[in-house]
Amino acid sequence: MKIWLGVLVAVSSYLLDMSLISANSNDLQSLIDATEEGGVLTLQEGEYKGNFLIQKSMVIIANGHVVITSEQVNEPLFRIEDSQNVSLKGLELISSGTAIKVNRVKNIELSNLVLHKVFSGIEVYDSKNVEINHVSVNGKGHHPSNSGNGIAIFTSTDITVENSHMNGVQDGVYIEGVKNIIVTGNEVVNSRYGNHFMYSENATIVNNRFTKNVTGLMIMMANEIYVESNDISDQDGFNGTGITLYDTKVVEVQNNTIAGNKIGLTIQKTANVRALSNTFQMNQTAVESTNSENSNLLANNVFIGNIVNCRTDEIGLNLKNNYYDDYTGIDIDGDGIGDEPYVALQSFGQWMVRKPVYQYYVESPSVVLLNQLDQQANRGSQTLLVDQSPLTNKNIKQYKEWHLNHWQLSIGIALLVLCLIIWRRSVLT
Amino acid sequence: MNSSMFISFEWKQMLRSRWLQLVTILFIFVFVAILMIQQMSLPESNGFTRQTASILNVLLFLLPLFTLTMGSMNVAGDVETGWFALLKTYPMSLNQYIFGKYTALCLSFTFILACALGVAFTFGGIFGGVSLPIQFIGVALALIFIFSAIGILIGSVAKNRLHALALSLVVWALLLLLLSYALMAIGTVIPGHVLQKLTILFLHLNPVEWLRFSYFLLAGQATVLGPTYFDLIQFYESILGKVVFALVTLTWAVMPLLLTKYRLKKRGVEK
Repeated sequence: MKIWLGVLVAVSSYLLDMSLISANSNDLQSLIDATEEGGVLTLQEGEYKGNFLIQKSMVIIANGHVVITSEQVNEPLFRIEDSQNVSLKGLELISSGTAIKVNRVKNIELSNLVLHKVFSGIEVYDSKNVEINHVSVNGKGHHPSNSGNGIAIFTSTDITVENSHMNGVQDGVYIEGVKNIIVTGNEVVNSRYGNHFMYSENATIVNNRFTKNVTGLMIMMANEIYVESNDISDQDGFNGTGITLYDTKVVEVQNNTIAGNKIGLTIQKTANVRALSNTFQMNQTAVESTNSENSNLLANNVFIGNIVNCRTDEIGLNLKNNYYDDYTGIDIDGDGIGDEPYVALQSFGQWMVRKPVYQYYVESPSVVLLNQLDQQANRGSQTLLVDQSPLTNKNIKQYKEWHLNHWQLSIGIALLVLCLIIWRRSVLT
Repeated sequence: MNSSMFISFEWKQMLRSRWLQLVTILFIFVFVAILMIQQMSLPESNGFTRQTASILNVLLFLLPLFTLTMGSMNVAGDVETGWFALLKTYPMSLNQYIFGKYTALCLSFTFILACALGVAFTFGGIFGGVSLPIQFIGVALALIFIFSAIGILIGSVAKNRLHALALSLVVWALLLLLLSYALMAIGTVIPGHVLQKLTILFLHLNPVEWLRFSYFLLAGQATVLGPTYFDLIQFYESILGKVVFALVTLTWAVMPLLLTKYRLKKRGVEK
C-alpha cells in the first residue's frame, strides 16, 4: 500500500512539474517581451518550445538545465535583430533548422550554448563586436553537403569565436566579408571545412584543432591571415587537405602541427605566404604549390615521415633552413646546417601535380626506386625546390618508450619456439 | 607415394635447403630492421604513411623475388636432375605433383613469415610493442599463395635451373618495376583519362599491383589512390565488387597452376 502511495505521489509531482514547464514554454516570448531594456531574464530549469524574437538589449541566462526546442523548422529558433548588448548564456537549443540568427546587432555574446541536431548553428549578419564562446554545435549526422555551417559570420567586424566545438556540420566556422576576427581554442571534426574564410581581412586563427574534415583550414581570397599553433590532422579523405590557401595575400602560418593529411599545405594563386616553424608530419604530400608567386617562403619547418615533402608546378616556393628527415648530406663544420643543398624535387611529385591520375603510384615499389635515382640525378638542380641551408640537428623525438610489452613478447617467443620445433623436426629427423 | 607423403617430403627438402635458410635470415633481418626503425622514428598513425609504405614495399619486393626464384628452380631442378623422371615411376598423378610442390612451397614461406613475425614481436615486446596491422599479414599470405603458383609455372617453362632463375628475375622486374615505368612513361604523352583506364586494366593484369591495391582496400585506405579512382574503389567496396575481388585473387593463384599442368603435359612429362 505504501509503495503504491509513493508511486502515486511521484507521478503526481512529475505531472505537476510538466504543467509548470508547459506554462513557462508558452510564456517565453512574453517573458522576453516583458523584460525591460537592458534587463536580465533568468530561465528556470525545464523545457521550452517555440521560435523567439529578440529586438532589445537584454541577457537571457539559464538557471539549471534549460532546453529550448524549435517549433517551426523554417524559422530560426532565436532571431536577434536590430539591437545591441544582447547575451544568451547556458541554453541547450534543439532545432532541425537554424538555431540562432543574428542581424544588425552590436555587442552580442553567445556563450555556453549546446546546439543539437541543427541544420545550421549560429548565423551572424552585419553585426559588430560579436563574441561566441563555449558553444557546442552538433549537426544531424548527414553528409556535410546536406548540412549548414556550425557558426557562420557575414559582413561583420570585430568577431571572436573561442573554445567551441563543432561536429558533423558543413563548415565549422564560415567567415565571409569579415574584418578583424579571432578564432581560438576551437575544435572542428567530421565536417567539410574546419574553418572557411572568404573575402576577409585581418584574421587570427590560434590554438584550434581541426581533424577528420575534408579540409582543416580553407582560406580563399582573403588578406592578412595569421595562423598559429593549431593542430591540423588526419584530413585523409580523397581530397583531404590540412590548409588550403587560394588567391590569398599575406599569410603567416607558424608553429602548427600539420599531420596525417593527404596534402598538408596547398598554396594556389597565392603570394606572400610565410610558413615558419611548422611540423609537417606523415602527410602524403606535405606542401603543394600551384600557380603561385615566388614570394612564398617555407623556413625553419620540420618535415618528418611525409611521402612527398614538396611539389610545385612553377618556382613559387622558397625553402630555407628546414629540417628534412630524408636529407642525406653531412655537416662537417658542425654548425647545424648541411654542407650541401637539399633538393626536394621529385619527378614523381611533379607528375602528380600535372596529372592527378599518377597518384595511384604513390610510394609504389617502382616509385620508391625512381625517387632514389632522382635524389642522385636532381642534386644538380639549383633553382626548383632547393633548400641551400637545410638543418641537420633538429632534436627529433623518439616515439617508442623502452618498456616491456608482455603480451607481444609472449606471442613473439611462442611463435619462435613453434618455428624452432617445426624446423628441428623437419630438418633433423 | 600419396599426396601427404609427397608434401611432407618436399617440405622437409625445402627446409633443409641452404638457399631457403639464407632467404629466411635475409627476410627476417630486412623486415624486422625496417619495422623497428620506422616504429622508433615515427608516431603511430592510422593512415597510409611512409612507415606503412615501407613495410608494404618490403613485402612486395622480397616475397615475390624469393617465391619466384625458389619455386621455379625447384621444379626446373626436378626435370633437369631426373628426379621428376624417377617420380613418374611412383603411383602419383601430375595433379598430385603440382599440388604437392605448391603446398610445400607455400608452407615453407608461411614458415619464413611466421619466423619473421616471431622475431618482430619479440623485439617489439622488448621495445614497447610494434604495430603491424593484420592486413599486412593477409597481403603477405596472398603474395606467397599467388607467387608460389607463378614460380612453379616458370619452373615448368624453364629448360634448366639457370634458365628458371633468369626467367624469375625477368618476371619479377617486369611485374614490380618495368610495367609501372612503362605505364608512367606512356602517361606523359596520353591524356589522363586514358592513363587512368590503362592503370585500372594493368592493376588487374599485374599481381603485384593487384595485391598492393588489395592492401588499400582491406586497410580502408583506398583514398590514398586519389579521387581519380573513386568509381573503381566504390565498385570494390560493394557486394558485387567483393565477389569480383575474391574471384580475381583466386584466379591469380589457380590459373598459373592450371597452366603448369598444361605446360608439363605438353612437354610430355606426365606419367
